[in-house]
Formats: sequence, C-alpha cells, structure tokens
Amino acid sequence: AIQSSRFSCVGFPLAYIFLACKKKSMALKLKSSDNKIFEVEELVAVQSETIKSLVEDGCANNVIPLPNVDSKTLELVLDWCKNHVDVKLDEEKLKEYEDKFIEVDLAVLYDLLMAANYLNIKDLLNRASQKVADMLKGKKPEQIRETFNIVNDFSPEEEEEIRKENLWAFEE
Amino acid sequence: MVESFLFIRKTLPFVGTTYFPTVYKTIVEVSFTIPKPFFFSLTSKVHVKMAAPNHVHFHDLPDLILFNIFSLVTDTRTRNAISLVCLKWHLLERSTRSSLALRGNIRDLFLLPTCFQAVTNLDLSLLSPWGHPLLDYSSPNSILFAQLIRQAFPSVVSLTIYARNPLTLYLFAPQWPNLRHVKLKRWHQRLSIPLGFDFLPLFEHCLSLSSLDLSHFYCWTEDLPPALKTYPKVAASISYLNILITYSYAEGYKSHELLAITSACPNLRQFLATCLFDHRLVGFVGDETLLSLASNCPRLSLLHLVDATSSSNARANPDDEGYATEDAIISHATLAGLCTGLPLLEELILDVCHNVRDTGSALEVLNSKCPRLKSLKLGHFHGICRGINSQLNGIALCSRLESLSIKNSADLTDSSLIAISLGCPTLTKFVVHGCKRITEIGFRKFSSILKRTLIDVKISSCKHLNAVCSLRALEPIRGQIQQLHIDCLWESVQRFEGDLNQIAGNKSIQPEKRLDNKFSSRTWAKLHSLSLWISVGELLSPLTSSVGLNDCPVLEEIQIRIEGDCRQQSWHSMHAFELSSLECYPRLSKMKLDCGGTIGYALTAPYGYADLSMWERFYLMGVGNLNLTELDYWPPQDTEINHRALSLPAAGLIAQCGTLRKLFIHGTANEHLMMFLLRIPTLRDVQLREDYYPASENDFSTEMRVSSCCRFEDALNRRKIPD
Repeated sequence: AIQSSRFSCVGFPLAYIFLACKKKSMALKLKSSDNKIFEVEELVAVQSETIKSLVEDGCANNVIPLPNVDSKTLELVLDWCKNHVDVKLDEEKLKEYEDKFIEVDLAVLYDLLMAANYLNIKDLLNRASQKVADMLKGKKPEQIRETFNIVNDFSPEEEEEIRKENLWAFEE
Repeated sequence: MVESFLFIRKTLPFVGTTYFPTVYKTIVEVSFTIPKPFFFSLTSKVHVKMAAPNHVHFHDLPDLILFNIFSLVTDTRTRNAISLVCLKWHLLERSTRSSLALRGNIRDLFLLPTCFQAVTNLDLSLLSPWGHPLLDYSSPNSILFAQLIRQAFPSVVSLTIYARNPLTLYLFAPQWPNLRHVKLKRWHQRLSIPLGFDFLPLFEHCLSLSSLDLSHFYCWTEDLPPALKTYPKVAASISYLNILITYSYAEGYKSHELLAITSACPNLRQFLATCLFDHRLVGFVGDETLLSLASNCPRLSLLHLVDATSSSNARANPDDEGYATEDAIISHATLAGLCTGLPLLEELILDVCHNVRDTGSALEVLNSKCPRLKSLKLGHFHGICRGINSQLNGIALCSRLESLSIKNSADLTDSSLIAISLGCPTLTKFVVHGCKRITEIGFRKFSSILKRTLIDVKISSCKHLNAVCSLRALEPIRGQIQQLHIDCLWESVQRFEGDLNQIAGNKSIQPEKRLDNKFSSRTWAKLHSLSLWISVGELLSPLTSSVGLNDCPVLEEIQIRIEGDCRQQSWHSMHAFELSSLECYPRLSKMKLDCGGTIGYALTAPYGYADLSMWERFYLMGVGNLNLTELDYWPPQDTEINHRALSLPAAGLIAQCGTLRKLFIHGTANEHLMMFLLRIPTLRDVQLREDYYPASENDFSTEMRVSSCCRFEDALNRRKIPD
C-alpha cells in the first residue's frame, strides 16, 4: 500500500507534464481525398474520434490520409471543429454559428453527413441530422422524394398496405 | 439488425464508413426486395435522373445516418410520410418509431399490424369508442386478444391505458412485466370493489415500476395506500408518483393517506398530490404532515402539493383584499424545516389556498438549503418580498430561479416585483395570478429588467392588469416572448387610461411611450402560443382591433377559456363572439375552445326554449373562416352538468372548417350530427371524449352509441385522407 501511494505521488506530476506537453503539441497534417494537405492543431482535430484514436495509437506522425473526405468538405468540417474547441464559448453565439453553418444546400449537407460519420464527430453529425429531420417535417411523401431524389420502389398494393398501417397512429 | 450494424462499426473502427453500408444494404435487399419488372424500375430511375441531373442521392446514405435522422423525427404525420417514401425508408422508419398512440376501433384490434415492433411508449387510452372497456371480458378470447397486442408491441416500457375496470389491467399487466411507466385513465365511475383492487394486478406483475400517474384516473383517495402496502417492493421502486386530482373539485388526499403513501415509497423523487390545507377539515395538511413527508422521502426533487379547492375558487371577488378567510397551519419553522429536509429540491409547488403569512425569511432558507431549486410556485403566500427599499430579501434572493409562479399574494407590490426581477436574473417563465396590488408600471419595469431571458408570461386575475395594461407592461419583451396568457378584460380600458395619467404624474413614465396608439404596427415576432381567459358574453374582437395584439406572424396555437356566471345576464341580441377576428393571424392552426366553465347557461335560454344551441352558435360563428387544422372543443354547458352534447348549429359550423384534420369534442353527439363532419375533406382524427367526471355510463337517448360510433368511423376511414 505504501509503495503504491508513493508511486502515485511521483506519477501524478509526471503524467500532468506529459499531458500538458501533449495539449500544446504540434499541428497535425490531414490529407483529403483530392490530395490537399490541411495543417491543424491537434486540439481541433481530435474532436474527430477517428483521428483521436489514430493519435492515441501513435499513428499520427506523418500525414493522416482521409480518403473519404474531399477538400471542400474537410475545410468546412475543420471550421466547425475550430469553433467547437473552446467549450466555454458563449452558448448563444455558438448556436448562431451552428445555425449559419448548417444553412447549406443538399449536396454539401450530404457530404457533411458522410464526413461527420466517417470522422465520427458527434455534435456535427447530430446537427446535420437535425437539419435533415427539420427538412422532412411537414412534407408529403412525394415532396420528400423530389427533394431528396429518391425513387418510389413500392407497388401500388404495398403503398396501400402502408397507408393502412399508418392509420393506426394518432397524430398527437 | 441495427444493433449488429453498430457492432460491426465498433469492431472495425478504421475501416471507414463506406464499407458497411454496402454490407447492410445487401442484407436489406436480399430480404426485402419484392419482385418487380426490371425494366420498370430502370425506366423510372432514368426519368428521375434526367429531371434532376446533379442531385445527390439521399438513398445512398448509410443506414446508420438515416437511422439517426429518423430517430430525431417525433411528429407522427412526418413519420407516416417518411414511411411512404421507399422500401428502405419504410423499414428504417418502423425500426425507429418508439412512440405510438393507437388509433382505431376496439372491434378491429385483431387486424393490428405487427410492423410497430420498436414501440416502447404505447398509448392505448384513445381507442374508440372512447372510454369503453378494451376487451369483451365475457368472451374466452379476451386473453388471446391481450397477447395479440403484446405481440404487436413487444418492447413496451411505457403504457397509457383507459382502465375502466380492474379486469383491463388484470389482462394487460402480465403482458409487459418490464413496464416502467404507467399512466392510468378513467373518467367513469369506480366499480364497487374492495379498496385498492384497481391497482393490484399492476403491482403484482410489473415489479420494476418506476413511475405511476393517476392524475386522470378516478378512484377514491383510500384506494392507493393499501395497494402499496401489499406490494412493498414495487412501492419502493416507484420514483415518480402523480396523484393530483383533476376529476373533481372537492376531494383531496388526507394527511394520513399522504403519510402512508410516502412511507411506502421511500425512494420517491417526484411527488405530486392534491390535499387539504383547511384546518377545519379532517385530515388537513399542516406542520406535522409536511415535516414527516420530508423525512419519509428525503430525496425528492419535485414536490407539488395543491389544495383541493385551488381550481374551483380560481377567480375570487376582485374587490376583496386578497387574503383568504382562514390561515393555514404552516409555520415559518415548518417551511424552513421542509427546505432543510429536502436538499435536492429542484421544483417546489405549494398552492395552499389559505393564508401563509410573512414567508420572506422561510424563502431565504429555501434559497440557502436547496441549491438546485429552479422552479417555484406559491399560492396564498404573503410577505414573500418586502420590496426594493431595503436590501434584496425574501424570494428575491432565490437567484437561480428559472420559473416563478405567484398566486394570490395579497401584499405583492410593484416594488416587490422589481426586487424579484433584480434578484432572479435568469427567469424565463413568470406566472402571476390574483395579485391585486401590482400595476402596469411595476410590471413594465419588471419585464424591461428581465428582457434578456423572459419568454413565457401569464397574467391572470390581477385587478390592475386588464388586457391593455398587460400588453403595455410586456412592451419591453414584445420581440421575444413566445408564450402568453392574458385576461380579456376590455370594459375598464377607458377608465384606466384616465387613472394612469394620474399615476404617471407622480411616477416617472414617459408619456409619449404610454399613450401613443401605434399598437397596430407593433409586431410580436416570436409569439407562437396565446392563451386567453374571457368572461361569458364578452366579445373577442377587441383583441385584434384595439389592444394591440394584431400582428403576430408566427402565432400557431390559441387557447380560449370562457368562464363566468351568466345567471344575471339576459340573452340579448349579440350576433357572434367574433372568432373570425382571429383571421389576422396568418399561421394560426390549432385552437382549444373551452366553453365549459360557466354557471347558468340554462337560465339564459329564451322563454320557451330549453336548448343552448344559441350559445354554440354565438361562440362558433365564423370558425370556418380560420384555417384551423386542429380543434379541441368543449361545448357550452354548466360546470356541474355531466351530459354535454353537440347541437345542430355547432355541428354545422364546425363542418365549415374546410382544412380541419383533428377534431376532439369533449362531450357527446348524435350520429346524424357527426355525419355532418364527413363534409370536411381533410378530416382524419375525430373523437368524442367525455373526459369529465362522471362520464355518462349508458345514456342511450343521446350518447354516441357504440354502433353509431363504428358507423361514423367506417364512413370516415372509407374516404381517402390526404397525407
């Protein structure tokens, strides 16, 4: 018991210094699918769980290739991350920023969703999903298909069947 | 399927998202593709591509992302639309639908589809005919039916059910032994069965019950304690208990019953109850009860105690001083002890209806002992704040409050209001009722100090705050207020402006701001929900023509409650209530119109007429001009009368609402009158709810009988309803 306590006494400041060094640490290099290289602070990049685990495993010394994200999207994503580094930021301002950020056309929104999912950035994924959910709200099936460019693959009988199922729900 | 999908994602963190959609998609396609001519789908795809060449295909989004998106959609109508988009979306929509209020006729339950397997939150209380026993218990098939419902909804943990008799729970409780949240409903009379029998099947089978809501369930106050005593383990697992009484104006739980319940449920976190604070009654709640209650359930975060007479004497004589005739037996020491005993309190509601005097010091203790307190409602507490002359004191020290409701505080002055606004800078919601001494000047100051946070305000029954004064007082927060309640008191508008000139002479208010009549150009930019109280016989039109509430671009919901005593009024030649004046709100789509809170309608009927259809015509005239999609309607009937029926003019007028989708009538109607409603092309959900006690048992002369209800619904469902 004595040994372990001594160990922790020594260990604590060491770990602390180690962490502090790490926090200040160097910029990471991210390579997009079209071979553009982005230099960002580690604190910004590790909001992506995917990059974070790479860093933790020590695989982040060289350029990190992100073959599923193009440069245009990556730029947007990194902008989001930069604005979410400082947690103490004024909540109102952050909300304003998010609302403005997400006002994009459908193609960009699609790319953002894919990138956020691939890089595993929870708050971006949720915000973008919420945006899509809001776009769905109050639309008719035909309007949804038109907006999101989806093909109706139901037979008339199937469609009728689903309409019947839907009648079992009160709209409350 | 989604679980396994998530599992793949966890095990292969670096593979990248693009891989597994393909895997999942193949699964989906293998199991769900329905054979179809190949060329057909090909041509249709080509066609769409040509129409929108550069578009992204949301169809290609990984299912996990779609799953996330659909989980965020709560609105049933949108969900129904999503399910009709394509096969894949249909599947994902069903697997994310967690909440369902079942619509349909009890007779058709055997047709129940099994596609809603993911539902965890099920409401069975709205099946039609409303309020009827769910199953025919005499038939041997009833158990089979209960099992059928279980198979359709296997994962239910939260259930709302109309338990007209104990057999309902006897059959359903065993189906879902993992139920955690239960809400029972019943407006019909209690059967003559031994005490507590209504609850026994529930407690016997659902051992992990954590919340129980009986606020809309008619039973005796003696029923619950013995049932809890019989099943101490279940009682101990309950953390939320709601025994507010909404079905009667006189009853309340007695002191010893409250103590029996709280000692059986020591782990309560939230407790809501109606009780008696009047010391002249047997079983009143006073010092001792409050203290033992706190020691029985020390971990309460919500305590809500309301006096049984609270809702019936809502509007006392406006000219008395504001004190009740009797004092409650609640001392400062008790209040302080209560606060000390419940350190985790977040919300406290003590609506006493009898005077609790000089409470300032006790409220200071509340602030120091309950650091999490966010919401407070006090009824008949006097002396809560002495004003701004001295240091901040009393309630003004509770600086973390976000919601505050003050009811019938006789000595609350403008000065106290200002002190509160200075002391509670994070208030978002403020409700004031029956405070006779506050005026426009104080309230205006109050709202200008809190203009950064305040978004929800209710002002009712305050002598000096009629409609015009209330709205002027809210001028500083006009651009941000989202929810508002005011009293539609017009008649004193002229006189009051005169008074105000005198007051303004003494206090400093800029005259040009006060007197200008530019209200017409003032926008209430964020107001989306408006609630109004209006005295019986008054007209609605001044609301939009002369008090300055005509420009509300996002107002969606309006709630109108008509109250009063019309025994003295004679029926004069009033044309209409002028609902159509609400046309000026472009987004208005939902309305609750409650005409059921009056006394003496019947006596106003002209000589020789017994029916009240003229009142219905008066109130509903012009309803067709509003583009309503939802209407909740309580027909005009005296509060004491339990047979409330729709009349011919009402049916005709409602049938003119061409865009109506949901209609709930809180009463009964004849079949032929209901058939009028089929003229509305968009109508989808219609229900007659007798949600008042006691609901008619078997009134065959007028009640919508089971067979007529079925006929009406068949006719309704036969039509093609637009999505």
